[in-house]
Amino acid sequence: MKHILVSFMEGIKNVWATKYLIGIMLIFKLVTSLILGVPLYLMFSTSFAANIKASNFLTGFNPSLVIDFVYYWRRTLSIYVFMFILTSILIIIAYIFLSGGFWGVLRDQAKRRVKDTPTVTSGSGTEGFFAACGKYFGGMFKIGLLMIPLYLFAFLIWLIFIAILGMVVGEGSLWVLTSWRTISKILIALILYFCCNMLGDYLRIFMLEKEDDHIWVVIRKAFRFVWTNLSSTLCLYYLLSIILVGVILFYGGMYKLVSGISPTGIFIFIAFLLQQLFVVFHSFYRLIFYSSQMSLYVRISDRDDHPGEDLDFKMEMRGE
Amino acid sequence: MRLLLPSWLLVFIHTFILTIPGFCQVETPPAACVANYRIEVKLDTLGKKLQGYETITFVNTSAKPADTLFLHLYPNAFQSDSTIFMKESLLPERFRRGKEYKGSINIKQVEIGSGFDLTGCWIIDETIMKLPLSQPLSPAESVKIKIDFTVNLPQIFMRMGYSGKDYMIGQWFPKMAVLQNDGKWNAHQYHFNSEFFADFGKYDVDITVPANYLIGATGYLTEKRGNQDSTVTFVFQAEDVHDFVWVASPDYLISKRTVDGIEIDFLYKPEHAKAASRILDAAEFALRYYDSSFGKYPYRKFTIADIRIGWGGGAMEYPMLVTCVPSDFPPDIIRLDAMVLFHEIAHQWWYGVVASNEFEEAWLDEGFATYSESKAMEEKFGTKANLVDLWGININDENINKLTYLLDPQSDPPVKNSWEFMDYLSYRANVYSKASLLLQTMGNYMGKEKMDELLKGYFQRYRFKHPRTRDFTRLVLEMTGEDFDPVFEQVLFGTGLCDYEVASIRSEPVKSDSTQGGFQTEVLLKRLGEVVIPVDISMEFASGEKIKQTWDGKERWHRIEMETDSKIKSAIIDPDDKIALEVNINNNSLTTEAEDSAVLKLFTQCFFGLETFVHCITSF
Ligand SMILES: [Zn+2]
Repeated sequence: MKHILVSFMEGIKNVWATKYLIGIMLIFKLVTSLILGVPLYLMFSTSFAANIKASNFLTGFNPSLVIDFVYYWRRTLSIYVFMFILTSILIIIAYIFLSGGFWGVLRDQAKRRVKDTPTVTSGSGTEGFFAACGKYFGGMFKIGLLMIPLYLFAFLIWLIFIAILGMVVGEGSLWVLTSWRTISKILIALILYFCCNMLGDYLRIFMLEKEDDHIWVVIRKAFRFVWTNLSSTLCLYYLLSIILVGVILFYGGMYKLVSGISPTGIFIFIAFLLQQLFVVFHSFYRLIFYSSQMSLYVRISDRDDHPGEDLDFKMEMRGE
Repeated sequence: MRLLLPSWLLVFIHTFILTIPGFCQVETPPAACVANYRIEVKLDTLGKKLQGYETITFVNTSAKPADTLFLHLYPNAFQSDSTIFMKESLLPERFRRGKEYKGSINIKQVEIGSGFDLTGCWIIDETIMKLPLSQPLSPAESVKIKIDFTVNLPQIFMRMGYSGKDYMIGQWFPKMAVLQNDGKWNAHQYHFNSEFFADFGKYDVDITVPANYLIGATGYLTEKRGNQDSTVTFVFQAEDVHDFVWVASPDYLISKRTVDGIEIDFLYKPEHAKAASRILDAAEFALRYYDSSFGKYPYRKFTIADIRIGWGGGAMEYPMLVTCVPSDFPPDIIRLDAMVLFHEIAHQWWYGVVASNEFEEAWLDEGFATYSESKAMEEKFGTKANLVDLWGININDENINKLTYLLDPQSDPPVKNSWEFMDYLSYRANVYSKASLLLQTMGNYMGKEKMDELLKGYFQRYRFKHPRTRDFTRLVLEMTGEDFDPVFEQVLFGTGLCDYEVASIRSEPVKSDSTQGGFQTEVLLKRLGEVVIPVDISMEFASGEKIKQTWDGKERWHRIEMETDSKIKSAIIDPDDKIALEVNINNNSLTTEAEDSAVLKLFTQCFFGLETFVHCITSF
């Protein structure tokens, strides 16, 4: 268990040492959300800024205003939805570009910490970051495409699970959220999603490490790595996920507290700050996901390359 | 303790009470028995068939002799994919082509009068059968028609057929069309968008099914007898109804409740056992509420049947019976069961008893039922969040009406032949929702008391009478003294929108060089839509003073000019939300102090939503 915690702590340290990555992630989210949001802001201010009834929104959701809003803007909204989808695709591509930089910088950081390997990315700071973005874009893009059939395959497994569940215990009500049937469906979906997501992360790590290999070789190596070290990779991933869920729940509670008392100016601002703090946190935390898993990989591969150096660590890893 | 009365006293009480005006018979005048049916039907569960034999006694209530009789053969709508019904339908391909979805009615023999065989003389055009008479049927004269028929049942996809072991038997027997007063037949083909229209009458129906089946039907069960071939015959009788439906299933369980002398039966499948008390509660509330709002439910029996009536789900109304499948939604969060039941039960008053022509003026039924449903939802669950109450999202039944109306507010007016609507969406938006919003608007204008009186008066005067749109609009003027005719003309017969706007507000000092003295205030109002309806305007000034005015809305714009002591702060049209038909309440007001915080709150929430969205689409 120790090496998982060590990887996790190292992950945090590595992200902290490269704080500018958080800044880049944050700016990316703010800018893209702003691009998606500006048309909404313009429509909102046209319909609601000088509208007495809009004060209803301060105390809750007013379906009448929203229904009429949608009807009035229906033509604009249909264009907006189209543009929204298009922009979203561009955002995904932009993120694939940036992710090369995130992974590249964090990999160097992890290696430096574990075994003082010279930096792989040329330059330092943002210069090195963007160099890595460009360098790994092709590979990251291929992995992005590869994730589509992977998720489809997971979805298929989920459908088979549901079918078996239906055959064994009969169809239940979809809406009784508390029934064990629904809970097990959601749990299986989450587990499958997490597995795919984790596999994606290790694929990226191996793509960075074995950059001269063919993509299929990378896939094979990544899958083999995850499989042979399944307990470690899964444990680390679930440790990360559980902490994230905890923070989300905490945030939800805090937000409910603030939004409950937010009819005017200053409270709207506080609620907004809280939201943005959460965005900062999940930007930070995503990088921790990346870098913890990177640390785990570097540690395992380093010990595999130099057997006997840290017997305790290795034995524990193999479950002996 | 039992109290026994001598029989002469009972006779006296009976005679005396029944002759008091306003009691019993006067309260419930029987409908004219125009088309009366005696039917024997046997369900063949193996062949998915009905074997039927009926005797219709039909009275010519028109002013002219009739030389042909018209009957509806509704099951023939499903005989092929080229029927009018199927061609108009937007049903998926499998229903149009699939063999199991084919249904039809075969007429084997027709006898008229005392044994005159008409076999071979009839003309069948899809869902309409014409029977030429050898002798015209004079006014007030009656005729007996005996028909031997079989019905091939489809798998249920449109209100009729079987689903596994369950049977939904609606619009199944050869049924008389309506002979109008002018001697013309009101006999339309069965159209996809259309529901039904028929005369009132008496039904005696013997239904034979396998012994393990339970049945729910229109009317009162008067006898149940076992047969030697391990079948059982249920005998039902119904009076003052214009249709007869039945449902059957070996799985049915039954839950009963008596409300003000009305026996409510809920026939349900075992998997819905938990919903039984909730369904009966909703039915009890609706029966009581409509009883007090419109007038007494004229029967002693009411049945709710748990059966799917079609591929898209939904529920359906028949005399003394409605279908309703309990929803899977948590009933405290999304009150779908209550909404559906309130709607279908309201039909008992509008479709069942008032019984307007749904072929030609469906709004008189669906619009009234939708309005009644909204009012019942308000009465039972309040005016806020009476339909959905989930995570701060509060949706009322009326919001859904407005939303549905806005899906297609301009293709057709509500008053139109059902099959002439552009499509089902336009039918739904206008016949159900726009009509309901009109009634809502009327109620808001005339006040609750007057509106309640109006609906009560309408129900009392036209029960069992098949009123037309003009009967209703005339009654509005007569009972309330308010002239809604221009509104009816535009809303019921037109496709225009109702949209008022406060275009600008401003106050300028009277003397530009002095800081003292009053202001010249100007408010510009515009009518952007075609619907003209008088509107209230409320203006608020910096001093806190409020001034109210009304505008008849006849011109396209109206400028209010006045000298005021302080500057204008805001102006609002229709401040009390009387116009439920208004399509854009967001332009109904203007304020000089921008509501920035509302926009900011809305936007910051959307912005956070977008950030989360970006986070999610990049998590792969
Ligand atoms: Zn209806």
